[in-house]
Amino acid sequence: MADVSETETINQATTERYKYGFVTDIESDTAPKGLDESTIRFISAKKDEPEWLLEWRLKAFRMWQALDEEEPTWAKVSYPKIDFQDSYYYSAPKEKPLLESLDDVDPKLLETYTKLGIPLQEQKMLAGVAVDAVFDSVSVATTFKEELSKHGVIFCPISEAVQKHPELVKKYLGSVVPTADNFYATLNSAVFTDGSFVYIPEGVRCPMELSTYFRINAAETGQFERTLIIADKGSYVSYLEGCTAPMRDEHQLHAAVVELIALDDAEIKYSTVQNWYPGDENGKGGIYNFVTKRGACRGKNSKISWTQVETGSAITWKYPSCILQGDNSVGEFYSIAITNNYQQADTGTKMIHMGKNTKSRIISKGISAGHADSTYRGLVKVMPGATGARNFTQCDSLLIGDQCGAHTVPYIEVRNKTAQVEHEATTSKISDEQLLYCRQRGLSEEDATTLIVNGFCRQVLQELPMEFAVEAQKLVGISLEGSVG
Amino acid sequence: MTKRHLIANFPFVDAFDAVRADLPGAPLDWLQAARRNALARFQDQALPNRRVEEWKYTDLGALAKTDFAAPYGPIGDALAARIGATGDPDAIRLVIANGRVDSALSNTAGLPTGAHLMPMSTALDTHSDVLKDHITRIAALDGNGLLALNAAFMMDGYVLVVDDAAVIDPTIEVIFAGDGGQGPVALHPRNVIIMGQDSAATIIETHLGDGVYWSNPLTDVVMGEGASLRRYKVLQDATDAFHLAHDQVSLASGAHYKGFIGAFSAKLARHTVAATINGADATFDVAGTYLLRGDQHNDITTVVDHAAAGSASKQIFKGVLDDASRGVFQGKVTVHKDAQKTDAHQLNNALLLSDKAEIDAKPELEIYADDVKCAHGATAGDLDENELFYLQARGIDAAEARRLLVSAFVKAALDEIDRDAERARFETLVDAWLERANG
Amino acid sequence: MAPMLEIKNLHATVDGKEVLKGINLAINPGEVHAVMGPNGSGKSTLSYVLAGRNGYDVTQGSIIFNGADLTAMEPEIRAREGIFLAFQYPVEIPGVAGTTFLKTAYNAIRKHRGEKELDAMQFLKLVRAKQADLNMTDDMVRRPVNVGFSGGEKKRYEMLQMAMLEPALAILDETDSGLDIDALKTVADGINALRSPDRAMLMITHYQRLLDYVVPDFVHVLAGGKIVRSGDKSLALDLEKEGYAVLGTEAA
Repeated sequence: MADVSETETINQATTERYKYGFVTDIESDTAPKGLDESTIRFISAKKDEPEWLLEWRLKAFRMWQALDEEEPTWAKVSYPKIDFQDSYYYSAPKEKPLLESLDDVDPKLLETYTKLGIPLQEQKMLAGVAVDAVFDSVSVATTFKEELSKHGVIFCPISEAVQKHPELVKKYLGSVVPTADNFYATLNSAVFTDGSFVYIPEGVRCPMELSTYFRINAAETGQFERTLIIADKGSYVSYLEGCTAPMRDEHQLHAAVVELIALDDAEIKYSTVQNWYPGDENGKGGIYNFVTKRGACRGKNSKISWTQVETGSAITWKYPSCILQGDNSVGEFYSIAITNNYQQADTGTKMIHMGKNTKSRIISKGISAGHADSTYRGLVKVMPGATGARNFTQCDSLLIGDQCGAHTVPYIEVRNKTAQVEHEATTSKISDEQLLYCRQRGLSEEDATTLIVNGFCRQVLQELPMEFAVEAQKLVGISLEGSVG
Repeated sequence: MTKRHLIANFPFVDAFDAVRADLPGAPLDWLQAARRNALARFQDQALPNRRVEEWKYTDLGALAKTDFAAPYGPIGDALAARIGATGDPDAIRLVIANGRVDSALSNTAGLPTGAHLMPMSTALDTHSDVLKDHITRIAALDGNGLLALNAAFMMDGYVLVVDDAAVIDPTIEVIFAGDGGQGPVALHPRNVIIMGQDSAATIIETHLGDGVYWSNPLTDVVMGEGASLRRYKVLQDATDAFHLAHDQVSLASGAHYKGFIGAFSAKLARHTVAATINGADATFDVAGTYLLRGDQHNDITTVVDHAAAGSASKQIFKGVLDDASRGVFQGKVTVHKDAQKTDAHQLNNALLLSDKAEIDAKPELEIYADDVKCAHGATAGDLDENELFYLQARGIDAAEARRLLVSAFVKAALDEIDRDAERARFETLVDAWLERANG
Repeated sequence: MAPMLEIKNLHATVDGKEVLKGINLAINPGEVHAVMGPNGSGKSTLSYVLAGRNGYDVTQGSIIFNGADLTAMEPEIRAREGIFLAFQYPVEIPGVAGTTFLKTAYNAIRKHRGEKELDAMQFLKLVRAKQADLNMTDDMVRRPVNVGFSGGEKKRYEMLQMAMLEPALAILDETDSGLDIDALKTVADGINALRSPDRAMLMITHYQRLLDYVVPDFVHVLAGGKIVRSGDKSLALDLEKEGYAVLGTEAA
């Protein structure tokens, strides 16, 4: 990563609050509040889905109903019980835009994306980012389709993939995150509305970075998108995901499922900058981000790399994981989780080593400020067949102020003697010496803190694609606002 | 709700009313009440199953299925002979056999002034007021069914009281023996150690036995200001034994606890070491090694609470796992909000010597104070092939080379023992274990 | 004209213990002052008090810098007003590129002075020019701040920062410590290059070695928290010959 201007970052950090907190005034088409079989039939009918998918959803729904009292409680987060009947499960902008041309998209929507800084416009396409934008529950526009289709790359809303590529969806949907995986994944399987679908054909190196921006706009609406990425043999794709939501006083639920499949010699790089509305400084409002992300390195020599910068959400509950099935496959997890005010984050990864000579690497940087709690929770599991497996884990926590908490909960399970598993963790604060040194050179305490925290996060930031790295560095500053002095 | 406990129908539990008259402190009304309350608590809590987070890696299923009875009386002659041959024959020693003090095998004559060592049954006669507080406090611990069982069936263990400023140099030896020769028995020894201000003592506990028995010792250690205690545990239980120990340690300012656990035995063992540091400049260090083979299961669970500013804790464990054995290390360090300047270190290294061995580690940090230095590390793996090859290239045969390397691996934990005689005793046990590996 | 820096009857405590016990010192623009003294005499305390380190509290007396009360300012305001401390032990800041650090500082100070901030290209050009004088490579300047630097490299990086930030008053705290003769010459050249009629320097040192290369206008001897003697550079030579014991002070 080249040097990006941290000065700008810092200047913006001091003036910006949550800049994505606006609400777009768009008429939406919404399913009635509450959740029962009719809601699911409504969603499925809206999307004109085939019978098999409706059945798949209903099966998941019945499973979820049976789980009703089984909302997970093991994470180190606390929140009032969610009333799943007091939420909308489907909300779509009413004037449903045609997907063929951007000119047909509601100008207000485009304005929203401009505010978000998404390169949706033609001129910005030159930047080389193909964008699928998910607004509440539906995908509104996918840019750059033509260029991608030349290479045989499929990048479209999953609802469209269901219609046009049912064989791929049917084969892979739920193959990494089974319907019964966990409470939220089961719920998502029943009610998912939209999300991105990516297929990279054999031997293709995706010519550009693919990107999805998720946005929750409507009030009292849960967002349940479903993303499915398949990298066929010898292919490569880098996928970026960004998330924002308006400032609202009530909590909103986001329960996505992301499934990645890498076949022989394929590589998927998945980067997230999660900036859902975190609630105000008193902990009012904000998104509950309960997400299941998992990748299967199914083929030999395959690789899946997760990089995440988690600065938003009132509560984050998220463990992007890798199942290393193929021999010599590689899983990576690079994470920055920043919590301030009353935010809570319980995040980490699972690396399940099954194939021979599989390798995994985990670098986690947790920063807590204000009254926030940040937990790293991770599992490294070496199965008996994973001869020669290697793992290295490093978890560092930084505390800013004496009202916050930082926790590290690693699980290490090794059942093969040839494995080498190493875990290191530290917890500390920013040293007074470092602060004085920066301030003696003219930096304010807040700027010095941002600079030092960015340094602390560097190992992860440098894994991000350039444009995301710039945004992430800015977010570090914004997220820590009000935490010093 | 999901079931979070195991169903167990232990004959000794059903025989509560029959056995309690024989248990220590029978004439004390408060104790009888405490026992009855504890029994009710056990019936409510039962034994934890693996859905309880702290018991994720240790399954008590086999224990729950065994029909344990109350102990049948004295131990067999062969076992008595082994006790006689354990440790230093001239040492101050107390022997607790099948839950009862064995006066014939004990010898506390040489105890220096300032130290008081006696079995629980005697202590309840002579020091009942002091012990009432301790026993009531332990009963109030929000634990699991195992603690409740110990509180209900509390048997002889040792009570050590060291007066203020008394520095006891000779090592105090306590031997626990279990005999399941006449059928599985359950033992619930209770130990209490009260260290006066600026006092010091060293104690070594050995656990051994024959046949199927379940030892469920609960030890309450209270350390006064500036007190210093070394406490070593040698675990040589029978191959079919169950050993589930719980240590509860509290430290005042300037107190130093140095513990060591050497686990070489039992079918299923779990050693929970819980410490609360309540004062500044206190240190809590615990180290240990577990060497397992066959289908042994050994679990070391530490829970260290830094509740006061300026204290330190250190943990170093080395595990060696052969055959289909399984090692578990769970270490949790909590630094409370006001415990600034805490320095906490924790390390677990495990060597897997066989394809079927397994290690599960969960080193955990929970931190609420910002000005702290906390670190933990955990590794798992086999011996280094390069090191093995190097030794072989110098003419050392493979088996010997492995033994040298394992011994070196374990040494880092043994080096935490700062008394030569006791360190040598553990070294001998490690060597003996390694000899068998080669045999 | 009033001096640039005027310290009057300065008493200061570190963690509640009085270390400075009545210091008087005036420095005019263009002057180079050396403060010498045995270990524990309060030399480093003086530099931290001037820089405004937390826990170094002024209990009596005053420090006036360019007509303003220095003690009322936050450390970064002192820096922006022109006080530069070359640290005895420069601090490592992992992950923060040296160029980013220096550019942020540079622009913060320019902004304070009402000058236009430099963009990345202009800034790099400027750094390149200055780093060459100090025998520093691009790699050294880009690496995370002070991480993996040798003692000499750290001191040269301090000099580079000083050259970039162009302070009014530079305080050099034991800048010569841990340097071999070649490094000492390089650092001394760096200091001499910055001597100017507008700039004052306060060199804090235990040995007179550095003073062979950077010749001071005034030498003060600090002992027991007070300046016990002042003179010209010959005082430093006397001290070199006789040692601090000759002063009849408690430390050596």
